[in-house]
Amino acid sequence: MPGAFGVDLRIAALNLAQHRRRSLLLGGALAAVTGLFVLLSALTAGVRDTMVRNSTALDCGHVNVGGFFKITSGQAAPLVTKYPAVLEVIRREVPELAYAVPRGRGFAKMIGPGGSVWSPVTSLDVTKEPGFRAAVRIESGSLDGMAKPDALLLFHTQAEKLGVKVGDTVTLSAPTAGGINNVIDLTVVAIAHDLGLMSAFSSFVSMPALTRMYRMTDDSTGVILVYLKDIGKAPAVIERLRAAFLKGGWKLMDPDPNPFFMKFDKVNREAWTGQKLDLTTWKDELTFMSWVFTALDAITLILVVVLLGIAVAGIMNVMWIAIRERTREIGTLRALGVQRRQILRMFMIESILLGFAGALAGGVAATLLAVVVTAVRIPVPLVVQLFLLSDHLILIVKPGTFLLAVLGITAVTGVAALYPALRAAKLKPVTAMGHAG
Amino acid sequence: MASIVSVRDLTKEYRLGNVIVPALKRVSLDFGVGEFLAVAGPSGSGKTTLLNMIGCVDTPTGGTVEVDGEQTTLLPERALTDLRLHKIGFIFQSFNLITVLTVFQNVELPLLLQRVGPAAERRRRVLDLLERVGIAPYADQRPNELSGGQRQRVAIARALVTGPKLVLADEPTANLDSVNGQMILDLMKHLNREKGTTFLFSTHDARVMANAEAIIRLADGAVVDRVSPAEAGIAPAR
Repeated sequence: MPGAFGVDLRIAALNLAQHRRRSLLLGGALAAVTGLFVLLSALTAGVRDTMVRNSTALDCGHVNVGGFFKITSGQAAPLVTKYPAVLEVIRREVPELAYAVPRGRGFAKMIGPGGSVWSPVTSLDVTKEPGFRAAVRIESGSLDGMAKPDALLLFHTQAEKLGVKVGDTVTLSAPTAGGINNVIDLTVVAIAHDLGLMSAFSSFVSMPALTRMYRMTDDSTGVILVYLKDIGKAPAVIERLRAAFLKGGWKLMDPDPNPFFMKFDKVNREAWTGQKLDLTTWKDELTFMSWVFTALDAITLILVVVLLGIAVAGIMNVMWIAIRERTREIGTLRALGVQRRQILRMFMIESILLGFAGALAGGVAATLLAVVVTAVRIPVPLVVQLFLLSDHLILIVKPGTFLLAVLGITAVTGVAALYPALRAAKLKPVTAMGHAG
Repeated sequence: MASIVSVRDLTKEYRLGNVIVPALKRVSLDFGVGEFLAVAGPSGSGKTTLLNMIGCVDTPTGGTVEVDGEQTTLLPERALTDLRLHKIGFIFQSFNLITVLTVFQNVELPLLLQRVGPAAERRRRVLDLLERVGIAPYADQRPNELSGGQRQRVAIARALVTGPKLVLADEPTANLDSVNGQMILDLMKHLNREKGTTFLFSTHDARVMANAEAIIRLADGAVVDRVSPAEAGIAPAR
């Protein structure tokens, strides 16, 4: 038996259908607000995901086991000595591990026929880093060339400044802790498309090249990058690794959520010598970029608040109009035996139905738009590329965000309709019918 | 004859700024079960106000109203709404049909509110009544597709579908031509005789009063008298 709720639902739906123009107008506005919210969130999520993916591929792992080696108290080098043993602990203690790779870290002046640039220099074994291969797009040469012992990978702008192309020689001059400069010649094997801000701070050499440049032993490296199957597990993995390293007799630096290059001064001021490991998450290593995330979140929040304010004002306005237009109907229904709470429910259902339909339509349209925009690879200006770490726009609609937008807008619609609906429910039947003696 | 409505010292005052306007002045009346009564009087005499008080859609300033043994002045809002739903049917001057519902749905509405089921039972009762008021062929149409007379028939069907003990009709023929008006009155009389439902309708039209068993005449918010049409100098209708 369809109870009173069925009647309310029917009347609400029929009223929406009857006032098609008004319903379409308000539903359209709600769809637009939801769509904008979904698109904005998709943009934020896209930027965040791209930044995190590319940053973690180029610059750091999800978890980083780095550290400093000090021959004397004031001479810190970013080194992990005897790293195979460290790697063994990681492989044993981290079942969430996707892969772990060593990377050498250095800083050198690169000199080419067209000029010179200072740049951090990182050594890598590209065959062991699928994430790196996925993040970097090669414009000339081949990543496979990195297998050569004197290989150098540059980004487009760097190559342009140095005036080199694939096959040319670049001289690297690296100052050492001892106050001398080590110099080696490397061959450009690949030039990659720029990846925004990160490309200005990254150049890559083959493993033997960096070992040779810093006269390092084969069992020393700069850092071990640990990539997890789920990046969200990084904090838990860090805790586990700290305990395991301490148990294994390693000395650890106190937790410090900053990238390694910001720790030189502090480490040099400390009295200890020898090896200390430093464990950081990707967030710690990318703190210098956190303002971008904060700015994105702030912009999204401001826009959403403004949009919701407009939506709430619109809904309340339309509900007032609907109630004014249907005052007589409310009076009739009350006279026929409809309870106050049913009148309230009727208007709430009407508003929630409209809110849900509008929000769902807007959410679906925005999701389709996001898929299309991402698929057609719309190029973004250089200044945006700097922070986006990508040369095209990537929009990612997360299921949680979609649900939040649709249900949130529906709930806001309901809340906005509550006061007008309460006023409608409180009307005396005789007042509503407008009768006079 | 048992009483269905008993009104004692009923007073209603409206406040217009600082001025208090009396609409009903200590009205006392009794209506018996199955009566077919007219409340007559000029505009502003208190006809609609009296019907509103008896129908529990307005609250009196003083006095008491008893409907089918229940003191309505003592009941909370929710109980009054239930009383309207189960014991009183309303017929309005402007029909007051729900425009988004079809004829069938308008008549079915009180049954749904009373949670009458199953659907087949509701359908049978609605179609039976639509048949009786001669509107069954229009069951699936919306009110705005019907003439005034047809709409008032729908309103009558809606008022009667739950089998109320009392039907209040506020100037039911005021918006109809004389032919349709008479048809509506004939229909109300027929249903009154057939089902024993008490009808109380307001009017200031002598031709309408002629159909009543008795006429309660109001003037300036007070009862003047209760007379038969003949006593009022009106030739009884058919």
